[in-house]
Amino acid sequence: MLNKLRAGDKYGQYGYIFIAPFFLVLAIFTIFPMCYSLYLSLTSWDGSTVAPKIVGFANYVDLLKDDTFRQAVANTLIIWLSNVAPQMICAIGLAAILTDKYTEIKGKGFFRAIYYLPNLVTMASVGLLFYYILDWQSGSLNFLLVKIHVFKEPFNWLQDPTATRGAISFTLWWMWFGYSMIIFMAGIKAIPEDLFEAAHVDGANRMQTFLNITIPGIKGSIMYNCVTSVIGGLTMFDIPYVLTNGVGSPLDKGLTIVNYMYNMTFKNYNFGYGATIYAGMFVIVLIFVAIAFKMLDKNLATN
Amino acid sequence: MKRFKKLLAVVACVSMMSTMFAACGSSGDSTNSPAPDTSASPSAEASVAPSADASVAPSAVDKTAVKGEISFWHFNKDEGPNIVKAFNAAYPNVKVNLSIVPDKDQQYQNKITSAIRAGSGVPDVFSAESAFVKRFVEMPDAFADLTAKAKDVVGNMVPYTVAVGTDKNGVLRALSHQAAAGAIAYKKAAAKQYLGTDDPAQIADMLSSQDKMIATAKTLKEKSGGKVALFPTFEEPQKMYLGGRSQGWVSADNKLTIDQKMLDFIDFAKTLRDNKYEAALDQWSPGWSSAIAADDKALVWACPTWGIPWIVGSNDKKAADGGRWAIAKPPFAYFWGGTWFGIYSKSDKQDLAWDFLSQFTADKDAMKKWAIDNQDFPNNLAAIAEGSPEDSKIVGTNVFKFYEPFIKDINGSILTKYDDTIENAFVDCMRSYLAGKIKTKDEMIKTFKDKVKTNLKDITVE
Repeated sequence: MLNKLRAGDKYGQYGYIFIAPFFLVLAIFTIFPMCYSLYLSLTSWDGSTVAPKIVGFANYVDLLKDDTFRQAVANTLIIWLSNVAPQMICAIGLAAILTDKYTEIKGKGFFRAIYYLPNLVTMASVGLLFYYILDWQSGSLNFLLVKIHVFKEPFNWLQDPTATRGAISFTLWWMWFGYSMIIFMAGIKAIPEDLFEAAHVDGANRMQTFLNITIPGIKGSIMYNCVTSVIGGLTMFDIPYVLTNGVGSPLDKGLTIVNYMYNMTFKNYNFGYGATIYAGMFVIVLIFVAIAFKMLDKNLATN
Repeated sequence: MKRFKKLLAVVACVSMMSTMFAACGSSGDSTNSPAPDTSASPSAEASVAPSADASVAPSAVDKTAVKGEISFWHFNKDEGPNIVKAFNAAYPNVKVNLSIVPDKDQQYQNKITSAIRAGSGVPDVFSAESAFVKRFVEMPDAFADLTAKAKDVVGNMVPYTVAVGTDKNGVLRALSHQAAAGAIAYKKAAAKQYLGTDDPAQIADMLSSQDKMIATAKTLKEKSGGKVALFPTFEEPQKMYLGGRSQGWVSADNKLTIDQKMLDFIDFAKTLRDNKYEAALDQWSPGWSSAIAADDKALVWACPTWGIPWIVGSNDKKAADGGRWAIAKPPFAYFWGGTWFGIYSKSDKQDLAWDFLSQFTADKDAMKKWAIDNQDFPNNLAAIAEGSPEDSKIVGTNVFKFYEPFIKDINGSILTKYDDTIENAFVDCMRSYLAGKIKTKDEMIKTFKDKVKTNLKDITVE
């Protein structure tokens, strides 16, 4: 077909054929379910054999008055913020150390793999692992802390709101800093070598090099990590689900937006309201991503 | 154009991430149903009406002469194939097309529900676990009316299993092959050492009421120097108290009802926790499992019929040697777990499906054999009355004979389709109350009611 093309043929249009499969998949598995969820949010439906009943915006009115939803949004933001900051700092720091030309760290490849490893384990398994470590009476953390006389009595981690949220953040941090680190390392590798050499020749110390060359050089990677963590953080599910017994215990203080939506839909069989929570989450994520994109845009413009 | 592209990027990005969660079940009307095409189209309703003829009595027909093919769905990969095998031993010429769909994240329930809604690809017979059986029993178009077909056999079933399988209009829709009656299992050595006896009757008496349980717990704690608590977790007695209720969580007019038993239980659990009469473990946690194998830690576990092999036996490897465990009558009759089966209301193979269903839910000999082969407990009063062919090694008693006297006291009518959500909320509030995060009982009840109200919008909470 291609050798029949002549000058002036718009062969660019064949590109659409090549990208069509993606959009087909997107339409079937993403766009359609999205529209269907929006339709469900206007109905009252228990997911059973009786057809959904249109109730208009009643679910949305409920959502605006729903304290649990507000609590879930707050929880999600708190857990996300307390996870993303240490994650970025750790990842950038480790990436800088592991890529530093002038400090020859032995076994670089080994550490890189070790830090990345937790990311390869299934979320639910990691959640369960931490759940058992944090178990009140029989968990190894309490066992250790009591043994070395930090605590007199085992501390009930997962009944304390702050400790529960902290545990979720920590677990997510443990899983994801390696992943961010790899991206930062790639970013640092892309900085022209001569910049570092020039700095070295000029007598800049490590901190100066890091602040004035590395950080500005990986702005793009930082933004990329921020945007993906906004989306990933606001839709977090597995780890909080496992660590909070699936119900957001203690008393909804560990309930994330997606947990709430999941429980409402698949445990309480309230598909209509579940879809409304989804719509609420969609709006929130949209706002945050728009902000992140705006910043990314500005950032790329100044570079 | 640039602006549009950016907008497109944002929308695509957000939608992809957020629908990963939102989409998974609501519309996933999967087409790759592994079940063979046995569907009855929604219009073919001719065979739905249950015929009242008496030809269904399973014993009257030559089972080897029955031929055909039916489809059967189960959520349990161990039990499903065994049921088919046991059935085919009697009916060698009926082909059962089994498919197993685990109920992880309600996958099994959603698959069946969407099949029923679509009216195609629904299996002729499908199972439902105690946690969601009520949902299917009450769901329009799900299970067929078995009242007429089963009228000769229900009298021989443990009454609570029939009550669970009956919908709110009194129509029988699901039957069970097992009775998951509850008892208490205790460690004999610790009981003998600290309570002075390991006799089941005396232990049962020591635990026969709330006051007696507290007194026993006190003795146990003092005598053992705090090494042995009465229960490993408050969730053990909770199973019994739930069974001891006289009304379910949700009344006939859809109101949340907190039975007096549960109000008593809140105080009881608090007393247990404050005095360290329970070991504060979580049910099914590794600590809980290892406490079963330990000689001390806790004395009494809630133990349904299946719990003898699967709670005691599988956690305490030495239990099968005998002499370590015994079972006693619980303070309140209760049941825990179990699986029910029903026929799809629009299946065009009602009679064959009934042959299948009745073989393992109503045939005494087959059920007895099943119970022995699978360490199960038959839902058949005649089989129970005959006693187990041999005593259980783990608890050293004739299990059928042991449960027989109180099995009829179990109240199956208190189960509602909302129980799972309500009990999750209850346990969450209980944990906070026991941990001291909720200060008073009134506040705990209020929190519980609020949680139920948030989660279940179609029931009234006062």
